[in-house]
Order: sequence, then structure tokens, then C-alpha cells
Amino acid sequence: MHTLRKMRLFDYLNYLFLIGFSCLMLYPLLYVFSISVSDGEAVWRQSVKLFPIGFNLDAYEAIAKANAVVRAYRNSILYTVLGTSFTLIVCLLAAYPLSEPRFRWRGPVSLILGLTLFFSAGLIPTYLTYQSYGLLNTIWVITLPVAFNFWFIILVRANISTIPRELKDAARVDGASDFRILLQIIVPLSKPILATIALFVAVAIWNDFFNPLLYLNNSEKFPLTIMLRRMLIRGATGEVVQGNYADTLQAKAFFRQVKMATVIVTLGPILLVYPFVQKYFVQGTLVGAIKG
Amino acid sequence: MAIGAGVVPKKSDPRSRLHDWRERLEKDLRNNWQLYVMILPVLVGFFLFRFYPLYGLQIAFKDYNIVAGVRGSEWVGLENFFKFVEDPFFFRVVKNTVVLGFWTLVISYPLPIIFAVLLNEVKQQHGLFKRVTQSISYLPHFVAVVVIVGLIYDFFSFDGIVNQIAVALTGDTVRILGASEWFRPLYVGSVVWQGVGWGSIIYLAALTGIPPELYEAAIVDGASRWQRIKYVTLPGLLPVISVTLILSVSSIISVGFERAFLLQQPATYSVSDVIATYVYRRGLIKFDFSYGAAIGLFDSVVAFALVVAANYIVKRTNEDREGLW
Repeated sequence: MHTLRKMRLFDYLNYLFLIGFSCLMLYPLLYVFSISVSDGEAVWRQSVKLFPIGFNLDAYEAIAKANAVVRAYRNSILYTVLGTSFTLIVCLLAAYPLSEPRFRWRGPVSLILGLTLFFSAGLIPTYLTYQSYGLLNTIWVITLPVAFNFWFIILVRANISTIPRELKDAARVDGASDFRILLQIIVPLSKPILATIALFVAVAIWNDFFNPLLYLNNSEKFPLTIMLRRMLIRGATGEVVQGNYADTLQAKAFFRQVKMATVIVTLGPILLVYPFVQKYFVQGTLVGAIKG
Repeated sequence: MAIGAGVVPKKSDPRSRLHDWRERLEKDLRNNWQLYVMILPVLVGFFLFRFYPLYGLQIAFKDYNIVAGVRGSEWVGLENFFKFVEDPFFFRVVKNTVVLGFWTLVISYPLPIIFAVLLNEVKQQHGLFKRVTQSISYLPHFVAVVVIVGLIYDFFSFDGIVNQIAVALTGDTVRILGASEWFRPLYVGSVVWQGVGWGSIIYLAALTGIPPELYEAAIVDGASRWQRIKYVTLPGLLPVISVTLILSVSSIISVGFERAFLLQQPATYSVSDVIATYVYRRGLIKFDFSYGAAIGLFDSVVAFALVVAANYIVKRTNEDREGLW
């Protein structure tokens, strides 16, 4: 198709459409950023439409001083790091035996764990079960169950099976234990797939609202998503931000800046790494799609 | 003996006696204990977090009370399911779920395909433009649903940017948040905004699998661009399209919880209350655990049946008789 290098009317329209599409994707994010860093006055006069007017970081300062937001941020980081680590550990611990011919139960075990891809108990039974474990309101309920995902195990197992057997055999002849083989041969050779899984899980936990809503009711444990709901949807920014604010239009506009700043710091980590890791995401999706 | 040497498991002999079997197992445990140590925590975790909750599913057929627990509660057969069917809200939540799922499917399913086809038409010399557009289009996928809904609350409020535009154009503000007639457009619109680019990945990948010779041959034969799209691009996408379609059909009955829950307000329940949010409210907020579990089970069974039905239909309609299974 590309032998025709000449642009035709269709091409111009198509390019125009795609540019418009990109603008539609970017505009809300740019607008949020602009509100968050603009001058307070420009915001309450509603003159900010696209790019920032003036520049001030008061909203960010207010967030940094708001204990609830800072704590939520810390919690989100903790849950994300912990949950991602657990997932990777479980993936490796499961995928290694399941790809090892010496493990005689690998057929039945794969089959049984594979059932979890098709059946889930649903909201209420899961909730009651976790409750009976005493897991409610703990960081474990957010970080542990997510780690047991057979889908990721399949991906790692498929990757391990591409590693030449001779490498493992040679190591074993040299007296290396299974744990040593896993750590020193499998892990280094599985880095791309592990990175992909880590990214998927990290984003999922970072953005997760459902599980914290269900299982956490102690505000000390809330992650950012719960805080965002309070601020953006419940309109409780005033309670979150510390300090005395009169019930004025200026204060209202400032709260808006605080909300937008919170959105920016929530998206921040993702936006920062996004350009570098995007290709892993795309690959991960495709591996999933093909294997599925 | 070197670790693991010569312990490739033999095909089990059905006549072998229990004694032999135990002996072999012991030997296996001795030689490969590390493999068992690895898999053990995995099995425990899957049991605790994935399988044991399934045992709790029995409360859908029981009258669960907290004191008696899952096992001790009384069996009531299908009572909870009958209760759901007779529930005054049954019709409302099922209808809302299906309508919302239907519009989401109808609008958000074809768009990634169209987007992928249009991107595919970008000329080779403009590869950078194509890549940048792709990258930008994936971005919304990484924005948390709670952020998207939060921004909707800001943008569509009385003095939000959308109403600023509306005032400039028509002189009137429009009440969008909390208005029943706007719930579905907002819901579907946010799904589309978030999903179009990401959804196109799989189609773009399928497009790279179409041999360029096909396009060249089409050009030599004098095919117009529409003909090339119709006779080369779309047939190349067809296998993927049928698979994604089967998988999407179940979304009609399982509208995701987060988006509906965050976007709904009591004022819009008449259109926004879906099965998932109803289960949450009845089951967890009003402590009607058995009832919530029964509705949830009903929902998954219907979703599963839809996938099976869609797979059957796809199998019957395409020539190769190929479905998901």
C-alpha cells in the first residue's frame, strides 16, 4: 500500500482526524495540569482553558502539608511495591517447578491452578472468606491475593521453557541447587517478562479502587484512590487540606487546584515512566492475546 | 548419586503396588524436595485466596447468619434466587446492566478496529507520526477509573469547562451530573476515551501480519483505497475480530463495578444501578450476604452462558467453523 507515497484527500482527512483524536486524549490531562499550576486568580475567574496562566505551586504545597494525602501516597507506594514483589515471587516459585520435567505433579497442578482462570467465587463469598482470615483492614488483603494470578504464571512458565535445557543441566551437574538455578539462571534470563508483569501489576494496584473500598475502612490505611474519591467526587477537599479556609469563591477555586494537583501527583509516576516502558506493556498485551 | 540424576519419572504402572508407589514418592521427595518447597507456598496461596472462597459460595443457597457462619447456616435451596427474581429492583438492575453493557459494546467495540485501520493507512514515510499517535492513544488506559470519574465531576459540573463552552455557544447551562439522561453517555464516553487506543493494540498487531504483497498486488490490480481496506485489511483482521467479539459479549451482563459505582448518584439509580453495584449495596452495606452472593452467582452464570452462546454463533456463521474452542 505504501508504494503510493503521494498524499491524497483521504490522507489529509485521515491525518487531521488522527491529530484531533490525539488532542482529545491529551486535552483533559493538559487542562488538569494547567489548572493545578495556574495563578489562583486566573482559576477562580475561570480564564484557564488550555495552557497555564501565571505560575504557582501553592496547591502542591498544600498537598505536601496535607497529612491525609501524604499518608495515602505512602500507602499507595507501599501496596504497589509489596503487591508487585509478591506477584513476581509467586510467579517464579510456581513457574519453575511447573516447567521442570522432574516435577511429577506439574500436569495436575497446572490443571487445578488453571481452573482459577474460569471460576471465581464473586464479591460476597470472597469478602466473607478474607474476613474469616482476619485480613480486613490489613495491608495483606491488598497485596497478597493479587499475587496469585495463574495468568502471569503461564507467561513466566512459557518464557522459562524457551531457556535452553543445557544451561540448567550444566548447572545441576556442577552441583547447583534448584533455588540457585532459579535465582542465577532463570531470573536473569526472564527479566523482560518479569518486567512486563511487574508493570501490569504495579499499575493495576496503583489504580485499584475496588479492593481498598471493600477491605479497608481505616483511613490510616487508605491509598490514593480512596483519597481521590473523597476529594474529587465527594467534594471533601476542604477536610483533607489543612488550614482555615473561608467559604469563598477563592477558596473553592483553590480547592479545585488542590484536586487537580492531587490528580497530577497520582498520574505522575505513571506519566514519568510511561515513555520508557510503553513497549513492554504493548508486548505484554500481545503475548497475552496470542497465548489466550 | 548426583542430585536429580536419573529420576526422570517413569510412566506409572497401574499394577504397581502401593508399596512401590510410596517408595518412589519418598525417593522423589528426597531428590526433588526443593521443587516441593517452591510450589508449596503457591498452592497454599491459591487455596486460601482462590479456592476456599468458592466453598463460601454455598451461602448463595443458604440463609447466612454471622453467628452460625458459612457451614452452620441453614440451607434454603434456591430461595435467594427466587427472591431476586421477585425483587422490585430485579427488572431495573438487570435492564440497566444490559442496556449499559449493550451500548458500551456497540459503541466501544468497533472504534478500536476503525482506529487501527486508519492508523494502518498512515504512510510509511510518516512512521514517527504513527508511533506518536499510538503512544498518545494508549495513555488514557493508565489513568485510574477514579481519576477519570473525578475529572468528569469537575468538567461537567455547573461551572465546569463543558458548561463554560455550552454557555458560550447557547447561553444556557446544562445540568449533566445527577441527571439520569446523561448517565449513559458519560459512562460510555469515558469507556471509549479510556479504551479506544489500548483496544487497538491487538488489531494493529494483526495488521502487521498481513503480507505487504497483498496490498501491492491490490494496487497493481487497480484497487481503490476502500477496496483495499475492504478486501485486504478487514479480511486480515477477521480472525481476531471474531475472538474479541466472543470475549466482549459477556460484558453485556457484567458491567464493571468501579466506573458505575463512582459515576452513579442516588438521583440516577433509575438508570445507573447495575447488578454489580446492587450486589455491593445489598450484600455488603445492608449485610444481606446470602442474597448478594446469589445475585453475583446469577450474574456469572449468565455471563458464562453468553460467552458459550456467542462462541456457538460465531462458529456457525464463519466458514472455517472456528470459535474460541
